[in-house]
Amino acid sequence: QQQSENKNKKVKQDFTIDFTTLLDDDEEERIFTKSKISTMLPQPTGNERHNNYLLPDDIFFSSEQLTKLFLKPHQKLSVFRKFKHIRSIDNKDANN
Amino acid sequence: NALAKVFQDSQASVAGHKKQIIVLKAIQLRAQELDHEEFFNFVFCKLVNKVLVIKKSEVVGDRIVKLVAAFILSLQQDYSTEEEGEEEEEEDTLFSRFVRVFLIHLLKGIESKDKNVRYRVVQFLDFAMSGLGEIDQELYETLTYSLDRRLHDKEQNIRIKALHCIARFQEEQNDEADEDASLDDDATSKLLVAIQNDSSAEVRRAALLNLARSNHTKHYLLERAKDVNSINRRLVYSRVVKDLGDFRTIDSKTREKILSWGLKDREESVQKACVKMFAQDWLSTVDGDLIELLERLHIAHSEVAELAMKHFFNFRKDLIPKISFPEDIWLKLTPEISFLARTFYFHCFQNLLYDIVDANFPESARLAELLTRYLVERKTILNSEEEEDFGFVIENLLTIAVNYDYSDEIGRRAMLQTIRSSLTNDRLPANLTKVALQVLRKLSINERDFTSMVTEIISDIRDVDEENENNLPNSEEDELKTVLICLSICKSMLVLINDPLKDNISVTSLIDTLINPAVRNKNSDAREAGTEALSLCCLLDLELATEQLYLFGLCLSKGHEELRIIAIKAIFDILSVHGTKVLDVEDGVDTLSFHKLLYRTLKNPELPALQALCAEGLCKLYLADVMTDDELFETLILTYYNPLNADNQSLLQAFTFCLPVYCFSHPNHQAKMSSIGSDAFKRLYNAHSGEQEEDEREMISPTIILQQLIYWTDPANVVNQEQSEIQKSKTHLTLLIGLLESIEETDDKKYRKMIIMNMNKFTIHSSIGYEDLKKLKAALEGVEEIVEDQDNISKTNFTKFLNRFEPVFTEAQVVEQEKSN
Repeated sequence: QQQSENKNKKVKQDFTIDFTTLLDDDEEERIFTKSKISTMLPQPTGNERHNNYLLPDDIFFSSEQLTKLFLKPHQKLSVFRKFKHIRSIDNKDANN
Repeated sequence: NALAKVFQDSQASVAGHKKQIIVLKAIQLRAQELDHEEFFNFVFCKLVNKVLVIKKSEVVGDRIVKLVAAFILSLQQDYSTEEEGEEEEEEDTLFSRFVRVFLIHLLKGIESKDKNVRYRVVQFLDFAMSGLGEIDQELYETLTYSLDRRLHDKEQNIRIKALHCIARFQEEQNDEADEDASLDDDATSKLLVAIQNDSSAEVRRAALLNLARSNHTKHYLLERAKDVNSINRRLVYSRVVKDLGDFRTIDSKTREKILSWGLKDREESVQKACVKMFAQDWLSTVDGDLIELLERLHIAHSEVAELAMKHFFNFRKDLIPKISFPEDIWLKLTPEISFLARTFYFHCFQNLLYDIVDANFPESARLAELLTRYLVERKTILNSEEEEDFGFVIENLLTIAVNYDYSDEIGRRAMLQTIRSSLTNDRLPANLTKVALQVLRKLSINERDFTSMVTEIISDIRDVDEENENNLPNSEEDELKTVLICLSICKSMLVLINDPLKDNISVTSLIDTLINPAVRNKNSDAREAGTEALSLCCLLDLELATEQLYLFGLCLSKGHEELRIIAIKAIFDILSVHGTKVLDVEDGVDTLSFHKLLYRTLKNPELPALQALCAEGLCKLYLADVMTDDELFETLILTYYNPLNADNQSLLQAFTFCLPVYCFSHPNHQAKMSSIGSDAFKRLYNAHSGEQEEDEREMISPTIILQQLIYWTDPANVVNQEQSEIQKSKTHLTLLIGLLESIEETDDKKYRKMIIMNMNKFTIHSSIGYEDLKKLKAALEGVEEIVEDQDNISKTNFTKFLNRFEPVFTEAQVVEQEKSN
């Protein structure tokens, strides 16, 4: 069995099913055997908090925002000049 | 055997299937003639068995499935044409008997323990259903019951197949009938459950693509524009919206939302799909009528329209030469046309398309004239809806005027005249005042010229007001209105200036005559505006800022919410501009009470907006090294993980962004994190284990917190660092020593295990130096006994770390000895 499986991988293109021999009843029974352990996902208990797999509202926080004043948004802070590379962290982190 | 041959021959390619099906039918008929029908069905199923065990990845299996599907479809066609004459009479045919046997056979395997069998069974069912018309009720019920269970199979591929199959049972819905019969058929409601609740993105995608498109499912489909999976999001824009038909049938609020989500999506492919949907699909839905498209956006109230148009022009460069503004159109501007003009102007301006600007936009003198016209007309209007439209048109014209070419002196003067007179006489609302001031700044020679003009305007407004007073006694209400108008102008001016206040008498006089009185005004609007104006002045003058900081602190602790928000912005801006120079001055605010104030604000979950601002501001100040206090910094970390703040998205997202940026921007920052890390973790752990059962899931698990701390303090993550610097960094060492020491202080075995199990995530290099490594060695020795009491896996992990540490330590020792020799 193991061997034939390995062979399948090597010559995948040529893998064929041999329909000339049929499974006997025992085998049929075997493949239809139900599993003792459940084949189903555990059902959520109901009171679990789920967000339906949606993203939270994005407030689009950015490095831009951190270098600006609150009340004078077009004024950038001189102290932040040395943090030119913040953006690179920003990107790096997004990839993490 | 002939049957086996068909199967054997059909697996290689689907090309010969047509022929094979003819053969199959022939065999079936002959079997019937020879009374071997049952045997035919039996062998057929036996052959199918051979396929059931085949792995999903083998295409030969898929080919047989297709063969069977095609066989069934072909029979279905034959029998339905035959049946036409006889009407439902003949239920029991060769075909129906075959189908029955076949389906029942498959269903035997649908609960198989072998996932391949379950997969193939459902696959066969799915394909068979594609060809089948009706099946009898009993079988249908068993089938749906079984498939429904497979919708919850452990294997996502099986869930997807089951979902496809169930999707076939959805009833065709036409929207008109749908209105009253909003009851979904069973199949649809099952898919609706899957689209929201299946943990696999691919299953949700299958549901997204296979759900019937109807009024009822619309909401569920469009909601996927925010799916956590970006492919699913993209599909909403590239497929689903189109499938739903005319975009005008989606209500305008929903349209605004999906546009906004899509255009701002962080995934570029989603953005592109959204732009394409807007600029191509939607435009063609309205037959290329841009004005109608803008009407549909409800531009005056839309947050996203401007962004949408920006993308629109970039995406539809082909349309740029076709857009034109003939002269007479400027006399009858509607909100939509003026908005188009403004966004179009902005696009041309940004892309240096000056020829197009010259060809379409009036000269500056003419623009001033037009503006005056609309400003005058605005005053004659009484009905508020029209006033709003006019205001919007004027705002667009003013916005265009900010970036206009004023090299023509006559045009410049005309515009200056228009703006000045309007600001003085028209009592413009705040949004128009703001833009008008921007135009004025553009027109003025320098900042001093600008401020003196504005001061004049303000005193004119007040003079006129006083003149009126002489004739008729002015009500308090009118007086307040005047003050608010003046403050609005003053604020808009202050935002635009940067020169020091020192020698600028026009501004300092405003502080005395307008701003300071407003700060003490009984009316809260005036107080807010005054406070904001004052803080803007403080940004221009250190002395004033130092003096007034106490006032802002008072507003922050005692004011109403709006005032507090202004105050906290003021405080952070002042610190950002002037640094800590404003603290610890005689009669001023001392550092300790300043920290206390911020600490209290940060801890107070009652005003989430204020709390989020406080977090953001503090992060800013720490990042700029204006603040360095350890205790307050630790509070930031504790606030981040505090379950009380779990719903404050602004706060959380600020932290999620800022904390790694802080740690990775400078080695000193990372060192701060590592020095408070172990204490913060200990506290968070205790808070977590002290929680009630029901709250427990609210808090992020300590394991994740610990891993985040380790990640943040990993020296390899700091930007612009040489390898040698990274190796010398003590940040991981400090955190680890702290954590090991905390192990000694507790009896909690789970806590100990968590630390020990994560030890191997720390990087410790010999370059750290013998002296510091000795401390770690001591800490390790200190916990050795404790580890003996832990479970085996902890012990193994601990030993693993020791084995890693030992050579590092020896190496450092050797280096140390060499040095002293």
